[in-house]
Amino acid sequence: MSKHPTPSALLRTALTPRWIGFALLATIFMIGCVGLGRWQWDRTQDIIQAEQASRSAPRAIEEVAVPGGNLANELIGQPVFAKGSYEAAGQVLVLNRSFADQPGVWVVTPLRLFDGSLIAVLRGWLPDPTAPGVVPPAVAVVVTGVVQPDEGFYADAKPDSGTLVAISSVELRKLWGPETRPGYITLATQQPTFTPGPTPVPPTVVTGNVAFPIQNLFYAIQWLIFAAFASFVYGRWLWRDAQEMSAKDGDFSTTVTSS
Amino acid sequence: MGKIGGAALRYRIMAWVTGVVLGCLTIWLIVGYGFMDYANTDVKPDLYRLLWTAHGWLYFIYLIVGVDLAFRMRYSIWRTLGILIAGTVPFMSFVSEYFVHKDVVARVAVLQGDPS
Repeated sequence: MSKHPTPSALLRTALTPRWIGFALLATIFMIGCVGLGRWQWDRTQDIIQAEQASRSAPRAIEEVAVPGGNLANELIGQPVFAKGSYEAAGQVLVLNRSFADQPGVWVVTPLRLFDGSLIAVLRGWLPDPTAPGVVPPAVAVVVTGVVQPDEGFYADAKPDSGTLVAISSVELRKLWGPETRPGYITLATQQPTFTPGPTPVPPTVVTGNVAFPIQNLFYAIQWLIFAAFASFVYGRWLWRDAQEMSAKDGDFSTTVTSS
Repeated sequence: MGKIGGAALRYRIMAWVTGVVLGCLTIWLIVGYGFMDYANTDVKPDLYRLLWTAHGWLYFIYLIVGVDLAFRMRYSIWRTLGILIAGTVPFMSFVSEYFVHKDVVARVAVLQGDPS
């Protein structure tokens, strides 16, 4: 069985409808593998870049989050600063958020930037919606913090007006208008300071100090290996079918050398 | 046919190893995301991540020994694909291994009973 199939037998086998079908199947599978490999590779890059962004110097929010756009994955966790004035009328409370095991709410206030656009600022946590500090300061402020992505859960929830169950740019844009920038800032510092105010909370999505995304990197490599493996399996099976076709033809004499 | 015997044993070992690892990880995933808030917080233990990475490579070895056995057993492409995909579905590699083993035993018995 170690005899080589003739080239013509190999070609004739490959061109049968059955083997054309297998070739198509293998091609589709390989395209899928390469696509999934690229996706894992992009994830790897995003995680590494977000890790670098989290350690970089603060940037103006205007550069990071463009109104109507999406927040780039690699900018999640980026330290930012923003200058503007809070708009108390647009403030929403995010329900059921505990802090240090105490129930309470998160206070999310729109900050009107000097260019007229808005960015959501998670000012912090309060034990209840009427606690002192819920009303934002009425003067211009400079806030620093970390960019966070939308919270992707409970998208269909319909809470009372003035409240949310999750921070979502889609919901905030409905409330605040199209000039709302995507994502939100988790407040770290605010100048000038005002007391009492909500207690600042740590960012939900931590991108700094994360482990190297070896799992994503390996998955990226493995998808490519699977693609290569599919072509090997196709070739090896085709080879055997062609060998059998050669044997049927009885034309081994043209290729077999005595061994 | 000692060659089939060796290939069958290699497949048997890998079906069990990947099956046990994937089965444990599946239960761990359900418990972790269902009851321990793995989705929202960063409490995933290193061992959990490590095992998923290990499973990726173990499955690759499973593919190699699976294709090797399927080739020696002269299985069709479809049957071969079934065996390979079984390694990705939790607990299916045990089912696949059961049928393959039965088939191998039958095949070897025929080969040994037939001296030609």
